[in-house]
Order: sequence, then C-alpha cells, then structure tokens
Amino acid sequence: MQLEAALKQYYGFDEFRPGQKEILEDILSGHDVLGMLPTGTGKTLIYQLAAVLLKGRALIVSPLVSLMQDQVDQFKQTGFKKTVALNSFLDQSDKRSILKHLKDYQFVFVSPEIMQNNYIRSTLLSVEWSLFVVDEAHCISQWGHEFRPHYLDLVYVKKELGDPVCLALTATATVKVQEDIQKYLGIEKAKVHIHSVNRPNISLFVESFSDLEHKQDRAIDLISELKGPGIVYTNTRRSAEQLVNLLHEKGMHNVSYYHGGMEQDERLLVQKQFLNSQLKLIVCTNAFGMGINKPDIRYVLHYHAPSNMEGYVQEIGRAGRDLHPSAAILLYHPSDLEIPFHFIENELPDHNQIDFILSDYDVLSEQTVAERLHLAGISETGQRFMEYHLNSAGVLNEKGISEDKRESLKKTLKLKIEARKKEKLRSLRMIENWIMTNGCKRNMLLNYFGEEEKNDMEYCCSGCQDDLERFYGKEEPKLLIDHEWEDELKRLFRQEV
Amino acid sequence: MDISRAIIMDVLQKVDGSRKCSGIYYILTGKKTAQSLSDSQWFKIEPYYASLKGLTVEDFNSILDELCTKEFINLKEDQVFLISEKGSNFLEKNKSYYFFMEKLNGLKYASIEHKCWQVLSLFVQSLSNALYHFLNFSPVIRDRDAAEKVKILFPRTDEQRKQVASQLYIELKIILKKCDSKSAEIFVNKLSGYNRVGHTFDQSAREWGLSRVEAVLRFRSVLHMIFYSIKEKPESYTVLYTLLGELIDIPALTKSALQTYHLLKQEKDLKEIMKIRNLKLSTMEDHLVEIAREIPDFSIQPYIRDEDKDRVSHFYNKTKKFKLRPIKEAFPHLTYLQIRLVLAKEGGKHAVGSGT
Ligand SMILES: Nc1ncnc2c1ncn2[C@@H]1O[C@H](COP(=O)(O)OP(=O)(O)OP(=O)(O)O)[C@@H](O)[C@H]1O
Ligand SMILES: [Mg+2]
Ligand SMILES: [Zn+2]
Repeated sequence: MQLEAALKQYYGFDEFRPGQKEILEDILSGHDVLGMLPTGTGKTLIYQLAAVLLKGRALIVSPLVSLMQDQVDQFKQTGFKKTVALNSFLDQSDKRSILKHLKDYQFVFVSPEIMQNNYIRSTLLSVEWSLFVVDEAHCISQWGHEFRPHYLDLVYVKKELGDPVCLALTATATVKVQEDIQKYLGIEKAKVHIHSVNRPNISLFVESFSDLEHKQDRAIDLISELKGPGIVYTNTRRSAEQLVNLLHEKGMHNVSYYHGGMEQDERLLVQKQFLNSQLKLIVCTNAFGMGINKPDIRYVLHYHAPSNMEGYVQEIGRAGRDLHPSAAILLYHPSDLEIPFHFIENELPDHNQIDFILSDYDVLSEQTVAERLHLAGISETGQRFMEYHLNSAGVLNEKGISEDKRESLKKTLKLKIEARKKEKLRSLRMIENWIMTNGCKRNMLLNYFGEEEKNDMEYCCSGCQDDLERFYGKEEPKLLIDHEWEDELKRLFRQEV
Repeated sequence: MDISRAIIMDVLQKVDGSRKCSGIYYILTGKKTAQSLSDSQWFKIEPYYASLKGLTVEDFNSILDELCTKEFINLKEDQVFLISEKGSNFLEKNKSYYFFMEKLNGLKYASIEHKCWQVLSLFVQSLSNALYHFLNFSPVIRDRDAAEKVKILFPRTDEQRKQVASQLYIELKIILKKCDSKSAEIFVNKLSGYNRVGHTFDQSAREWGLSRVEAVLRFRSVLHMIFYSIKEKPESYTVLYTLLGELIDIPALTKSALQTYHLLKQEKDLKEIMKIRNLKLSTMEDHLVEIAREIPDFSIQPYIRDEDKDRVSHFYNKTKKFKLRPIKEAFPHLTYLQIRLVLAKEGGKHAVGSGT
C-alpha cells in the first residue's frame, strides 16, 4: 500500500496504470528492468517515484535535446524542482555551474553524446547514483527506427558509475529490438515487462489521395470540423508554415506552427500557449512534437506519412493521454514518401565522402580523421554515426593511419552504411504497405510489432468502419482577455479598477 | 511601404553618399566592427544600428534594387546609393508614422536588450501568477541567469508582492503612455502572466496587420524607452531599476575616445595623437582601454606580446578578480596599461577603473 500512498501524495492519482506498479516493485527490490509501455501511459512517473522512494539520484539518458528541456520543465511543474539537463546546447559557464552543484540535483538528464566528454564523465562519477534510466531505449538498436550509436557506450558508463539499478524504457520496440536493448545495456537478467503498443482509446484513420489539392482541402475541412486541441505533423518546416498561413487565411486564428527553425524564445511561447489552451492547434515537424505532453489532445493529423511505423506510433501517441477517445488521421499522397526517401539516401555519408575522410595522408595536409569528418559536409546524424564508428576503431583523433587499416575500415563502414540504409528503406516500405493495404489498421500495426490481433474493440479504425465524424465538435473557446493594453496591464498586476 | 525600406532610405539620406552599401548593411544588421560602431554615431543613426538584425545580404540587395526601380533611391557610383527627391518626400510625408523609431537606440542597447527582456518578462510572469496565488505556472523563459536573478529579487511576502506590483504597474504605465498605442499594445501583449502566455512576434504582426520586422521594432522601441527612462531618472523607476539597472549600465564609447580612435585608425602613433588632441598620458591610456573594451575588432597586439597576454588572461581567469595590483605583482615586467588592456578584452565593463 505504501506505493499507492506515494502515488497519491506526489501526484494525487488514485491508481497506477498497468505496468507502473509492477516495474516499481522490481526496481525497489534491486532488479534491472526493461519496460515497454505504450505511449502516454506514464513511464516518467515510474522513475520519478523510484528515485524518490530510493531516496536517491537518477541519471536519465534521453535522445532529443529539445525533448529533454521540455521534460525538465515538466519535472519542475510536477514538483520535482531538483532537475537539470546536461546537453550540448548549454554554454560553458552554465555547464560548469551545473556540474559544480551536481550533488544538489535529484534528476539529471543527459544526452548520450555528452558523456563522451571526459570531464563531464568524471564529474558524474563524483556523486552517487541510485538509478540509471535509459529512456527511448530503442535507440540502442540498429533495428530501431532512431538508432543512436552512442547509446552503445551506455553500458560502459553504467559500469563506471558502479552499476546502479538500470531501467530501460520504450514504447515502441519489436522483439528484435527488445533483445538488443538487453544485450547492449548488459541487462540480460533484467525483469522484462512488455505491454502492448496498442492505444485502445485512439482510433486510426487513413485516407489516400491521388491529388494534392484534394488532400489539402480535406485537411482544412477536418481541421475546422474536428474538436481540438489537435496536432498536425508535416515533414518539413516549410510545409508547416504554409499550412498555417492557409489556415489563417481561412480565418482560423488560434493556430500556430512550431518547429526547429524558430527562435527558442518564440518556440517556447507557442508551446506554452498550446498547453494553456490559447491555441487550438499546432502544426509541427516530428522532431518537435515529442516534448508535448498535453493530456487532452483530441486528434493527431499526419499531413504527410512518417517514415516508419515506430515513428508513427510515437507521434500519434501525443493524443489522448488522458485516456479519452481520440483520433489519429493520416492523409496520404504517394509523393509523401519522396522526402523521407531522399533523406535516407543522403543522411549517411556516401562512398566519396568515406574515401575523403579516410584518404591518403601523404597528399593532403596534417589533418586528423575528426577534422576531415567535419569538412566532409554530412548530416548531423551522419556525423554522429561516423564519429562513433571511427572512435570505436580508435582512429578518430589520429593522423597517418596505415593503408591497410584505412582500406579495411572503409570497407566495413561502407557495409555498415549500406545495411543501415537498406533497413531504413525496408521500414519505409513497411509503412507504405500499411497505408496501402485494406483491412484493420490496428491489427496490421499489432502484427508489425509481433503482437496478437485484437478483435474486440468497439471503435477501431477506418478499416473497421469507425466514424471520424464522432470526433467533430467545438471546444469551449478559452476566454482570452482582448482589451486595451491598460486594462491588460491592470489585470496582470491585479490592480483594482 | 514596409518599414525596412523606410529605414534603409532614411539611413541613405543621413549617410548622404559617404558610405558604400556594404557598410550600411553592417550597421543595419548590427555587426560589431569599429567602423559600423563609429559610423552609427558619426551619422547620427544610432537608432538604426542593429534595427534589421538577421536581414540577409540577398534580401538587403533586393530591397535596394526594388527601391531603385521605384526611383526612391538612385545609384551614385558603384555600391553607393543616394536618396531621390521622391524618396525624401515620401519619408517627410510619413514622418509621423515612423516616429516611434526615435525611441530606438540599437547602438546602445542591442547587446543587452535580450537579457533585459528575459529578466523583465520572467519577473512579470512570476509576479502576476503569484498575485493570483497560482504557483504552478510554467516559465516562458529558460535562461539560467535570468531565472537566478528573478529568484534573488523576487519579493517574499504577499504584502511585498502587492507593493512591488503596484509600483511596477505605475512605472510601466508611465513609460507606455509615452509611446504610441500600437507599440504599447504590442509590448503588453508580449508579456506573459496569470492565465495568459505572451504573443510571439508573428502573432502580434498578424493581429495588427504589420510586417514582422515592424512588430519587432515597435516592441524594441518600448524596451529601449524603458532603458532610457531608468537611466534618466532611476529614482522614479525603482522596481525597473532594481531589475535592470545593472544590466543597462554599459558605458558606450565616449565622444572623446571616439576621436582618439579615429586618429588611431589613420595610423597615427600615441605621441602624435596626444599632441594633436592635447591629451595627458593618463587620458590617452584611458581611451585605449575604453576602445579595447568597446570595440571587439580593436587589437591590443601592438601594445603587448601575445605570450604575455595569454599569461595575464590565464592568471585573471583563475582568480577572477579585477584587482590590478596582484596581477602587477605577478608580472612585474608589464605596465599597468598592458594589464588593463588585457583585462578590457577579457572582462568588458569591469575594467574601467584606472590605477589600482
Ligand atoms: N497512474 C496514473 N494515473 C493518471 N495519470 C497518469 C498516471 N501515470 C501517468 N499519468 C499521466 O500520463 C501522462 C503521460 O505520461 P508520460 O509522459 O510519462 O508518458 P510516457 O509513457 O513517457 O509516454 P511517451 O512514450 O509518449 O514518452 C502524464 O500526463 C502523466 O501525468
Ligand atoms: Mg516518455
Ligand atoms: Zn480495425
């Protein structure tokens, strides 16, 4: 009962959601845990409570810097004020001041990359850790959709930290990925809690279009009919902005876009406006939707198809976190896949770039492999990928590597890249297939994750004749004080009239 | 006409053909070169310094092309433009509309306005929520320094909060009354507080049918007006002064130092300059320190060997004390001037004091 009491005390919730309590019990009795719980069901709460009950400190590895900052805000708002994030966005003096006061924090978020830094690593070693949390743990697997090579080093970091209890969490891992997580984190003996990826309160709708204009019209219709708040995902910043402009022209004013190209102050304002229900809808790119944890999102509309099933599941998972009925709608046009296709083709370095990075040193000047890597003009993901592998091969900061070594390295890297590309293209085909195939969308999705079909859903998907119009309606408009500045200033400072 | 075009025309008018458009571009986008800093003063276009932050060269050039085609400006010689009669008539006719820009002072404030806004905005948001006893709000500013500052200055008791709120309300109201209502509206809408998150610039611009640039400028003009007011009469703006006083206390290059600087740039040596300007050695040295501090591109290399410079900055960074004497004792072979120059480059504003 002690756990329920803590739940009530810290959150005011009456009962645990499926999986939470079991995982907590395992952690508290000292077991490592691999937990797969569907999106939005409260994985965060598990490690918050665990740290509190262990009266200890938690190190949380999280892959997206933008997401991390949102998480820190949410922790503080939930009442866990001693929370901080260490990532590459901080400037030197902030980093130093955080590290200096490390022992005053209870929750420390880190990116996997930042722990490559010896200074940071050794400072992390100087305090005690009760819990080592790997969030979005699927990033450790080549077969996961967001492979982050530096996750592979976490096992060493964990060891250095004295092997605190390890909690690996994800919402989207196929069986293969689950095995990889255990293997590469060195937690083969972990207690495993696998729950279905299924989100029964989210109905799935897919509509295909052969004409882009029809799709656009349909999107605008839906947005004006559906009960908000909602999120629309697009696959580029530009199309996010274009869509928003279009909606403004149609007279929908409480709509904004939200993406990585905005100044950070402005982005934060839009996000908080949305959380405060001043906006009915935000249109964003996938990198920035992840941090949004608003309980009452009623629909997620994909204006473009995402590039794999896992990403799709994560993105629609923003909806219905309060467990009320919600809709996920994907509007598909064949051209949707061009951008992800192009992206896959160009994300990792091609043969020329590999040859350049590992070229003959007699001809060129005195550069280390790392310096060349930065000159090669590859994407951020590509750089991370190369950095990791060159570092593991022990050549990252070297010059003048023997020809034999260079040649063999080139060969392995090229093979690795080909394999990774092939895997990503396969994932792209899978989602294309899922979109195009008639039938129960939910069951096909469950099949993909190796789960049994569900045939007892009252409401299910467009394949099972669920009705999108169920989700039409108007939300209560938020009373926005729209008067002269003098009155608003008065209100802000609570001056009597 | 969009405001950026009016700004460019007004600058061309004031510079009157004595600078190439690249130089003007640097001023408008707030590039910190000695030239653009001193030109801004010289041509009395301080308000416009950094007024078009973020404008790309391509966009700048296409605006020039467009203004030429419309005959608002003419090409005088390669890369030099003059305002046409049509252009200056246009500015004259719309003078009152652009009047709010008089309150801008980019030269003085461009480098600190963002920090100041972060502090002010976070303070107002926290105070407003506290006044309504809503403690679990989510801050719109994440900057650690701003958060630290607000935490320190935040009034502790209900009573104090009410007092500070009334006072801050009055201070802001007085200043906003001095601005035009559109700019005041935009400014107040950008504030966040109880039950409302502030507007983005895009949202303000859309609401008022302005370009984003204009919305930004109107907002900044109010902010600069606040800075100016605090500086003029700190005793009337006690809350604002407590919040921002320290941040806006940045001495810009004085007129006298600026003249010295012009001479230095003509490659005159120190002795000559002292003779021309009839300066005492100590004044001359003060100017050098001031210039070193204010003008990032001004190199102190002629006055101290790199090796010595590195050792002094290392020493300083270890102790973080702006006391000259201990440094002088550690490096007896260096002069005070040499040490002060290094400190000016290292630490900016604190290095003003001369002697010990
Ligand atoms: N036992 C509970 N009862 C009610 N609400 C809960 C409970 N546990 C968690 N929640 C709420 O569920 C929401 C989602 O939680 P959280 O962000 O931890 O999801 P998540 O599992 O990490 O999802 P994702 O995979 O999308 O990151 C939060 O708003 C949280 O307050
Ligand atoms: Mg999560
Ligand atoms: Zn179905």
